[in-house]
Amino acid sequence: MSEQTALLEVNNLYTSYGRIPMLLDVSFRLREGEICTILGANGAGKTTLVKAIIGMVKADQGTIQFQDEDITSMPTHKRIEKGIQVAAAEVGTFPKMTVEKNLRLGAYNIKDQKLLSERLEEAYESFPVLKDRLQQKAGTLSGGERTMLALARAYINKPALLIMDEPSLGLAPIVVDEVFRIVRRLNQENDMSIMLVEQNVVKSLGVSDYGYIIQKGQIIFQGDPDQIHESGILDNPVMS
Amino acid sequence: MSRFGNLLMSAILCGCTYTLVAIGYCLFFGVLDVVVFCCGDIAIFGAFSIIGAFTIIWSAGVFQAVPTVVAVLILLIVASILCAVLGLITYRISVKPFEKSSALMPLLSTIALGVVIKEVLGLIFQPVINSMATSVVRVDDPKTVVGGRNPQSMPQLIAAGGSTLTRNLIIIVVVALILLALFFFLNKTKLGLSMQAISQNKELALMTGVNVKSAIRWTFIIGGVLLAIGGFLLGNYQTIIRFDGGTMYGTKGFAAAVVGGLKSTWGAVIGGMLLGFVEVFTAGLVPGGTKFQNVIAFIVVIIFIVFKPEGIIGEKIAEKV
Repeated sequence: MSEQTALLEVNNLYTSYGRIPMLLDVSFRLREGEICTILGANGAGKTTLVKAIIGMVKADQGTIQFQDEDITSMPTHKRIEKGIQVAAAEVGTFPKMTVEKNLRLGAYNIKDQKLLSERLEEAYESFPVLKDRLQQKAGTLSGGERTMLALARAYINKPALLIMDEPSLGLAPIVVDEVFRIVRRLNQENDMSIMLVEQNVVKSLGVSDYGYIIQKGQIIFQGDPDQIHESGILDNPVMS
Repeated sequence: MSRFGNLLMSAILCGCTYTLVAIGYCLFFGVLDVVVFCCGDIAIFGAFSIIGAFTIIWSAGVFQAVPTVVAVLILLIVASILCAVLGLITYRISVKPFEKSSALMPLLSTIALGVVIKEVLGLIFQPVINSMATSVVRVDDPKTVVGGRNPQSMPQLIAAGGSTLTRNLIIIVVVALILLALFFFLNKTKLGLSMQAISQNKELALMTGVNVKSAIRWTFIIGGVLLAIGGFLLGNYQTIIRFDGGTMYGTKGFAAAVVGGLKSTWGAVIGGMLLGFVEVFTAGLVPGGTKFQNVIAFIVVIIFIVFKPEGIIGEKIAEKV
């Protein structure tokens, strides 16, 4: 895998909220076709990293490259157009719109109506939970359904890079299994490169090709899942 | 027409004018989560632009040369452009600089901007229009506008010389058409949907790929145009208009928006109509009620704030834990 070209490359990234530094010298690469996990505890800077990649948080220093193009100072909507999608259940839905409208609006950059209907059909097949709820207001969905909606919304766009921000957060174990099955399927059947940002160590390393561990805004370890397990770094109580 | 019929007509008209300004508040609050308090003043600025533009093109003889409908449309377009620009200016100087500070800052700065708009209208409206009439149009004896801080009489542009009933019906039809166009725009066009998206979940809208900055700018342009038309209709309905009328007009519009639920355009329509009905029927049916129409209108608002703070259509906002 390592010979493949990097799809996303973050070099020496620094960000801050006001005067509080959030990310300190973060560098990582995500190769085409792989699932890469970023592990870290609450407040380690995982979500900040995601936001920096799509431009919702400004980079103070460092560069972000996507498909060999410097996107460090590109506005968010341009980056999304380039083929990055974020599925974050935490961010929620458009609560007053129906599930179907959420999905249609989520496919913001698909202008071809025929293509959109095809993709919608595919999404309904992949996420059967949503099919029964199409006319329901998104605000009334359960936690698991919201996660599915967020995933489906990103999936419709068939992005080159799918970033998933804590897909297992607050879900029942059986639903978590389902989510990770979908993650693997998206990667294998649709050739999506996936960046998985998680706290659930066992599950996420189970599906990943490579992993990074982030703590207090810094990458403290990287390697493939076996190396991470062997290193014993996860035994550190801060990480559990 | 019967007394009741007259009252009903006035109530609907009054409601229509409040509705437009209430929708202005809704649109701005929707995309920004900030109350832009100078909506009323922008609307009055729109009415004054109509008066000014009318004076100039009348002096130039253009107004008389073309059919009245066309001339009125020209006036409306001029006022709409001016108001759209004023809307953009409002965003640039009194909302955008405070993006990252507390929501109270833009509240204060838009109130301040409202005062500026109002006072500038009172101070320089006459000299500017007169000098424009003489210099741009090159007429020696321009049809002058009233000086200083006196009430301006609105030119009777709608159904001039016709009955008031025709005028009233035109106002109602215009407002109904605007509402239809607005609902079509908000629910069927991409820009409208992105505005709704921003209003419901700004972060997700960003992640979806909506160009939030440009959507906000468009909101101010569209809001400006709506307020210009609102000012135009208000001027026609009241026949005279004062430079400081925006304060009361804006407050009523805001009250209507709150009663309806600040984020819902339907709510703004219902709130505007409710306020118009309460006001007109208090003045018409309660003996000596004219003095108290504003008092009672605002008491209704207070009752709503106490018992249904989320508004008629608004949804309860659950505090995020």
